Amino acid sequence: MAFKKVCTLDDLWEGEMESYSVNGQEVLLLSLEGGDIRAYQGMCPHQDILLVEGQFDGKSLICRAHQWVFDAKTGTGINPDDCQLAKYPVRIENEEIFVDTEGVVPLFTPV
Amino acid sequence: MNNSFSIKIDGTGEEFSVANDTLLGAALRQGLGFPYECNSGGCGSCMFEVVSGDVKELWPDAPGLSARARERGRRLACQCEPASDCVIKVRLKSDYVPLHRPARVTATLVEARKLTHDLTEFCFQTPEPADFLPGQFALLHLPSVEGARAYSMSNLPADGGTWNFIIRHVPKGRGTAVLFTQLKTGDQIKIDGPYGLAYLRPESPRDIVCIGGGSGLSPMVSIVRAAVRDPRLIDRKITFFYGARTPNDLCTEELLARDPLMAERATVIPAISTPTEGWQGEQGFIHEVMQKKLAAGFENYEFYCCGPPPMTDAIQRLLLLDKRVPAQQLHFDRFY
Repeated sequence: MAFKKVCTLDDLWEGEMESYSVNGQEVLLLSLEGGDIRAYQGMCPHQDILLVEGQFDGKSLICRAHQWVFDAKTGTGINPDDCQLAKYPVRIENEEIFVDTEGVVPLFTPV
Repeated sequence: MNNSFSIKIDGTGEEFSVANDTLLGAALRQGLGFPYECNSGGCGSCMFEVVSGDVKELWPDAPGLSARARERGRRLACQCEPASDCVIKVRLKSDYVPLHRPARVTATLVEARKLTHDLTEFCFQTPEPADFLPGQFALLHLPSVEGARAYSMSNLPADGGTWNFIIRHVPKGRGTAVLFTQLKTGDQIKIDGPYGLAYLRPESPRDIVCIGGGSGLSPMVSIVRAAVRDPRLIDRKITFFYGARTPNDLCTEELLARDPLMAERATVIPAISTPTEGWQGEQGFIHEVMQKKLAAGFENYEFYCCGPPPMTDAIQRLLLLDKRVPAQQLHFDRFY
């Protein structure tokens, strides 16, 4: 396990998202409604569009290209509902956000 | 000078060659499933990463590529020509393997039929058969116009080497200026196509709803005309919503008169967005009219749509976010 510092909690307020390149992987950080932090693959499973270019309201994440909607809490697709964002383990220490990319592979739909 | 370069796709063993072409054009011509949508630099679907080699960008400011994506080393395949052999990263998908491989052909203008004050149907003829699917588009290379213009075909592929396009005259558009004021019957242009994923899916078991706005009429007419003729769709209900600003912008009556089978089999609902005295039909934005008319059971339809971005955005939000229509039942190509 190799957690790597990505940013501080102050860089990511509740309801905000930001995309970072971590160990060569595009990682999307979300600060959920209530303040929980999630880290998912940064690209939409559909067409490799950067998800940070879409919309996030603290609960759901919408890709800018085709309005694919994901549950921000779980990374599971809402529409279409047969897709999933790969999730990275997150650790918070001293107001700093750490992510572990080891062994996590972004998921993509076959079509 | 050697103008042919080899492009290898990292980690796949796939390889294609590009000669005087964009990366996207060459890949599709060679039958690869390179993701794309607008082929015009607007949507960002054909993003790829250059691993090694040099590419030349035809339109560095293309809106489909954000500053962030550019900084991450991404480029748009529809706007890049190779300047050397390259290795690139892209995820090929079988959905994008063209059923008809796009080709560049010389086409002759045979007729220009005025439909409204600013809509004209341009009819081109090629010696080769026009192999495309209803709903697809082509890139038109017009004389003395820099870059290509994407327009959707309005006719049926079965018409032989005929390529018809319903095009709106854009007041300051350089492309439409040539089409509407300079091009004469007998003049030649280059057509590069077909392209596009928003084509009729006759294998779908659902009733069909087509929604068009402005010159988005063109591919919808092709889809409706093909759908009413397809024996596999004999039991399907076909509804075509067409939105325009005023009654003067409508030409649905004329199109129906030209195709009695379409008039008989399809329900055509025109609507205008600007209240106009004496207008008896539907009024409102076309997605609102559709919502009112369909009322319920949105998930039971196959949707096709084409029109200006505010219209397609509104339809997408309504269908995917509000009505939870499965994303794969909505077909449109994003032109931004």
